[in-house]
Amino acid sequence: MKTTAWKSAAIWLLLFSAFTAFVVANKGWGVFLNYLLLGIPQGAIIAAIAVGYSMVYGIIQLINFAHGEVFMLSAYFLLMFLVPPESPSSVAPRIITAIVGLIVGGATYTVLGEGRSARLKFAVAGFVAVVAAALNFLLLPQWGGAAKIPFFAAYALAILYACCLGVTMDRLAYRPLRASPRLIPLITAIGLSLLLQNVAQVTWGSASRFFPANATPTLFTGKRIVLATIGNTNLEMSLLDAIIVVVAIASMAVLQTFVLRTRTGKAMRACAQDRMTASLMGIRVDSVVALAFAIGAGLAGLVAPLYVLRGTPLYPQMGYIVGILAFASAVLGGIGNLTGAMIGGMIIGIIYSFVPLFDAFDTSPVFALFEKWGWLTREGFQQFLAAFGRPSQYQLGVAYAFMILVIIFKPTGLLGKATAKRA
Amino acid sequence: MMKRLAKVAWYSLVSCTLFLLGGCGQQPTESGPQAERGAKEPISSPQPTQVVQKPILLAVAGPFTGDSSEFGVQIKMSVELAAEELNAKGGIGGRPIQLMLEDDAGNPAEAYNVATKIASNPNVLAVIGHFNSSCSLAAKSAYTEAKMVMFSPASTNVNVTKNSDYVFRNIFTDDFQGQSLASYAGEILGAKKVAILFDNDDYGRGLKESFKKKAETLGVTIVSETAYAKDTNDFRSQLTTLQGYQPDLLLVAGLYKHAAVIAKQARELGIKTPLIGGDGVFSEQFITLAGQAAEGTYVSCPFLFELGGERAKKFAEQFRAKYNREPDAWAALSYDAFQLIIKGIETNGPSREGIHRYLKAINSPATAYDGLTGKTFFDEEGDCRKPVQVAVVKGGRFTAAEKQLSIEEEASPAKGDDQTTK
Repeated sequence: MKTTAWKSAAIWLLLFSAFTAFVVANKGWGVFLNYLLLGIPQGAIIAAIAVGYSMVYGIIQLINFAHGEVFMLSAYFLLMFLVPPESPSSVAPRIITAIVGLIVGGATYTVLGEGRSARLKFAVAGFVAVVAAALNFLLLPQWGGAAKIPFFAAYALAILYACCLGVTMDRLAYRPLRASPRLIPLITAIGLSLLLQNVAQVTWGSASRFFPANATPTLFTGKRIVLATIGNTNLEMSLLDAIIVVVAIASMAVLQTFVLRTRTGKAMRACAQDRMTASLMGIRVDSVVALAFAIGAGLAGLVAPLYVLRGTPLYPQMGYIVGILAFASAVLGGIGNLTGAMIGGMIIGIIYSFVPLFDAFDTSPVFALFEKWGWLTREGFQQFLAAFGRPSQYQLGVAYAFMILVIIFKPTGLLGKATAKRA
Repeated sequence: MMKRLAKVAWYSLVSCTLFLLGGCGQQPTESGPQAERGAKEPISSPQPTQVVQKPILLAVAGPFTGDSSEFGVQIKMSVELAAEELNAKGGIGGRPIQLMLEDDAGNPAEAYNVATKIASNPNVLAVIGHFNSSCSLAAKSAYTEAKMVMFSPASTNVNVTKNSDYVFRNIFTDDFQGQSLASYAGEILGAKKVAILFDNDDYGRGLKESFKKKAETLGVTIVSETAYAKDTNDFRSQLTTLQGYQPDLLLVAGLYKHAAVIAKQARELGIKTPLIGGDGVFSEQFITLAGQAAEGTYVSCPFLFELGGERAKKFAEQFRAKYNREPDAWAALSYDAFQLIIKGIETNGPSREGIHRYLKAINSPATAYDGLTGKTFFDEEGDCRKPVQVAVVKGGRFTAAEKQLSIEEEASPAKGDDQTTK
């Protein structure tokens, strides 16, 4: 077991070194490291989302396709506190109120657990839902007004709502199907993903959005730090990117500690190994599943606003591409394995960022070398470009091709199966 | 028992929520039904009481709903304003103008249906529209068969006027726009190295190719060309690649949506290179989306009210007074299109053939029609050569750039390129 892991790690390291050598030979260290600095924050975000896929899969073997939509909605949850509705008769505040009531109520009901009377639980959940919806309505900016709560309070609320959404989603859509064949919840997940996209579109419209500049803390606006200078290339990273990397690494570390060191974490691992036996040992499997959904959604909610602040527009279909990249990462790392998801996310993020580098392949020394050897001609390359387009159009395709390659040679993913620790 | 109760409780919570949602959904929207009605029936403009003569029917076709409805509605409003103005003066020889408004929703299939409907009504003399190039291309055969003038105030695709004697436009073509942008970049902004990011569709590729061709004759080097697909929303790597060439200018041949993201991410990466774009970027949405990052972006556009004369200012005032919003360039172009058709009816009488004959005769600068948007005359294809105007984003809005292309400067080299323009 140990030896295979080492072997695969060695192979990947070797491949990566070869790639590094190739790029450095063409472009120099500065360019290589600059692309790496672009890829790392991207990878950190994808990794944080991939963990959500992997954790849920580890316990109930469900690929939660609606996870990308949780990511998208949590960015909108932050947006709704910052931006007033578009017109006085706008329907958005009412839909938002209904959503908040539903998810907070659903989460409360689930959190109250199995032991209590349903009537009591319903009464409490209903009360909490109404209070939360009313409070939320009061916190929303009025038409033409400014944000009523500071950015970070809104951010915290958005993460909380994301957790509630994850839990409610599980309680309403997946738990009733727990005993059905695996295909059925999978189809439900796809349906739920479409439903959430459409809810977002009805509420906030289909246009691309950013957070308003005047409501964004200066911490997150594009201040750039020069890390080092190599030759005449400055190694730069924006403060926001640095924050993303730190936040992602910290949250992953906390999560790992939680899963490996706490009793609840142990219960999660037990459920991942064998749900039936775990429940016989007195573990409340449903609560553990709900917790997995909450953690996954919370992580997505944590990184979603950062992703938008980084300059990627927010729109209802945005969860799809990010979600699919994260899903590919989870599979690449070995779905069900948390460390695998983190590593997979990083790899996919970095590959994704490196693809456009090859747009300028024809100006590189390696191209000249191939030309000298007669392997390539400039005309042929131009014809190829005209017919197939430039590499940067294939960013997603290359990331996928890489995932497929890994799966062909190691069907369980990089870290899959070999380790028993799934949670 | 408890379990069932819990279930009932859940369902009632869910249904309450759905009820709340449903209640929201039923809120009547003020504009919806009215717009619907407007699009379906011909509406008559207010008429002076003494008029009993049969009205003259003109059609307006464009996207009054759908993605590009923002532009389509402006066209409709502008033509309605013009018709009202004319009818208040007593119409043409006592006959008022009546408009037939048809919605193509920006959808080529729908545009063809609408065109068939308009062309088969013998009372309709000419049509102003369509907006989207794809719609104009789909619709033109129907009008051509019916020997009826189709006058587009907005479609810029090179092929729109080709193979048809009856299609006219008073806006530049994409080819000409690309050449003008290149002239502006090379001669006025003095750019030596230009990097290009282009949308990989007809519009983006066309604009890029014509820009490139012209730029090469001016000694401007294209240092990099990068295509992107419609669903791209991360341009950081592409921008890092092209930053390596240290270009003086970055051409975005695509739509405002992508241009805004590119602007934002470029500034975030610390790239200070100014952006330049075609009319696809000329949208208020570009500024809303990109915010501070939009500042200093050059955009070519068909018409700027700032550069227009007294009449354009007066039109803008009337438009604001009637609709409480700013007219856009296409509103002005539609107004001119309407006036040209009216002139045709006044000169040659109310017939399809008469309007066509009149527009065909406007074929040189000497016979040009001097409208809100400058002098309009057509070449044998029905294209019009009007100078491209350049706007720059300053203080959160589009303002006319300090230096504009002069007509001579543009016209002389453009003539050499006639082969490619048409």
